[in-house]
Amino acid sequence: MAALPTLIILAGFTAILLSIAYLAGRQTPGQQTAEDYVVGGRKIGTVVLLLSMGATYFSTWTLLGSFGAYFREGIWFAGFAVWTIFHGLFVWMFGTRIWLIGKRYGFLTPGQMVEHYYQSRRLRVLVALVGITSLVPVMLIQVSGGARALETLTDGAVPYALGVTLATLMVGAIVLWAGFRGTAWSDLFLGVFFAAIMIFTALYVLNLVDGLALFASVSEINPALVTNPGKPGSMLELWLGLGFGAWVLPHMWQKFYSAKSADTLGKVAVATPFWNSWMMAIIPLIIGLAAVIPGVAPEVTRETSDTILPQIFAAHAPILAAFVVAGILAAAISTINSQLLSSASLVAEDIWGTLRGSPLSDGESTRVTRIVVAGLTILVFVLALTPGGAGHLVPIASLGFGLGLQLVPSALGMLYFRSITEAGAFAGLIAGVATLVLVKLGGVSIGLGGGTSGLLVNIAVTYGVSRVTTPISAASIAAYHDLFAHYMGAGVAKKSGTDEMPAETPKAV
Amino acid sequence: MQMVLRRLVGVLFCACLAITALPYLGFFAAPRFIGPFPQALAIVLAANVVLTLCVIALYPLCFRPLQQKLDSDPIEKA
Repeated sequence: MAALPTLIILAGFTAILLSIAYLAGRQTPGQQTAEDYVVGGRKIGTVVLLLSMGATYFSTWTLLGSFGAYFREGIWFAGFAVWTIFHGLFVWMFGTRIWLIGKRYGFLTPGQMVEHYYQSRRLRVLVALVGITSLVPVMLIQVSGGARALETLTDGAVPYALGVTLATLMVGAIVLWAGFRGTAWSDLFLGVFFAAIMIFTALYVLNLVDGLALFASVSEINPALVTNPGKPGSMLELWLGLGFGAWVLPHMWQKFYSAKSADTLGKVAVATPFWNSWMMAIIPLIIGLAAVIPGVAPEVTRETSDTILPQIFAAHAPILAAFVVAGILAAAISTINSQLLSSASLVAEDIWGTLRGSPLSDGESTRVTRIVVAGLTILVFVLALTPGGAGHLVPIASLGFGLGLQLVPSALGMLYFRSITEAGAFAGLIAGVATLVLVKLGGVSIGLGGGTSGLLVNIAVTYGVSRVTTPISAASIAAYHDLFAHYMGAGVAKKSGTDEMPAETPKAV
Repeated sequence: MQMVLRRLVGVLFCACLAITALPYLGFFAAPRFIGPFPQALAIVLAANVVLTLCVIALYPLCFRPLQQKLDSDPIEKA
């Protein structure tokens, strides 16, 4: 790949991205409240929220890994598309409830809701620790993986160190300067950028392989790719991780807090299947399977199938290959920026704020979050440049979605099941994480994947312990479940109960 | 009427999910084609179309009534 055009396109891409972040954060940083900085002042509209959620959720894995998965697994992998449709349903099932409570009590992090509902600081800290552990290593892997891909694809024109520097500098600058609004607006640009690359590539390869004759051609070359070999356990693990991960992970949870209105969330839900499923899951099906046909991606093998996209460009339109390089950077940055801001807010609000014993003031919260953003950016940068630094965290990063899944039962207690107690949620979360670690890192197997095994144990322990421990206070039930019934139920109007606040409420931001 | 429609959409949603799971449980897994699509993929795609319509139906059935309720009885910050 020619070095000069690649560097010019990367420079242009960087300039546009930083300009968008600058404009988004033009509000003087000193005037930004914690609510502005962490959840965009709860004023994010439909288009920005939709693309921000989509671009955040889909990472370099989509732009590289999912094509390879279709190439290796064939149509079996199409089940992935179904559960990305669920993201739209989850906006209604979980997102609106999170939004309602976030708006009423001014919450910035999931942990604040946990402490408020369960009246438990230990559970808040545990939820925050699990959240951070699921996000930070994944951020590091995104930076190191993206930089490595850039180095390979450009034949060293963009060396690994430059890739790491570019990614961390841009992410750090965007998040530090503009906070949530900057990440959301830059996500919009980044999402449109890599979606354009995917649509263009899909149309191009469909033209190459005579349209939908693609599947018949693949069938002649490798019939196994157009049959479904089953493997329901593997698909269940994928479904659960990809499905629940879309709402329960802290950075996605905070996106719900940021919505301007319930109507905004509704429009996001309606558009989500088109973006998450038809765009991000079905387009890779076309491109990944087309790569099986000789001549589409001549150099690709099973081992190099994660580089299908750049290989297609290298073979057919080398002049445009630099856009793929920028697209990979876009996919990485759009995921990392939200994770960075979310992790920093968890450290500031849930860890620092809780451990020091008194809630942070508005100014302190913004200041501490910014300091943590800078600290985490430097940490990720240094670790990514340390030989083997990222490698040591790969096993932890692979736990990411599985760890996120373990937050589901305690979240469901707040949103649906009033019978879940604080002790049940706490014990269940510990048991779930321990099971996940034993399965993933300890080699213990109960016949299912780590995330699913952990979730099943988590649910069983949560249920069992909740049966024999002190129920949730009536004030919490009134503040949450009666509020949901009032606004979302079938004619149950008990809003009066919402005025009964739990005795110890965390600060309302 | 609205609750009936909501339940209907819910049932349709669950049915489509169950249909989607069939090829993973050994049904419709034979290497046959329905039009240009392999049978197992055609089932997943068809279910995906219906699921997409179900999610679109959420707007008038769930989100719009919620917004109307919020307009008439705004949620206050505690």
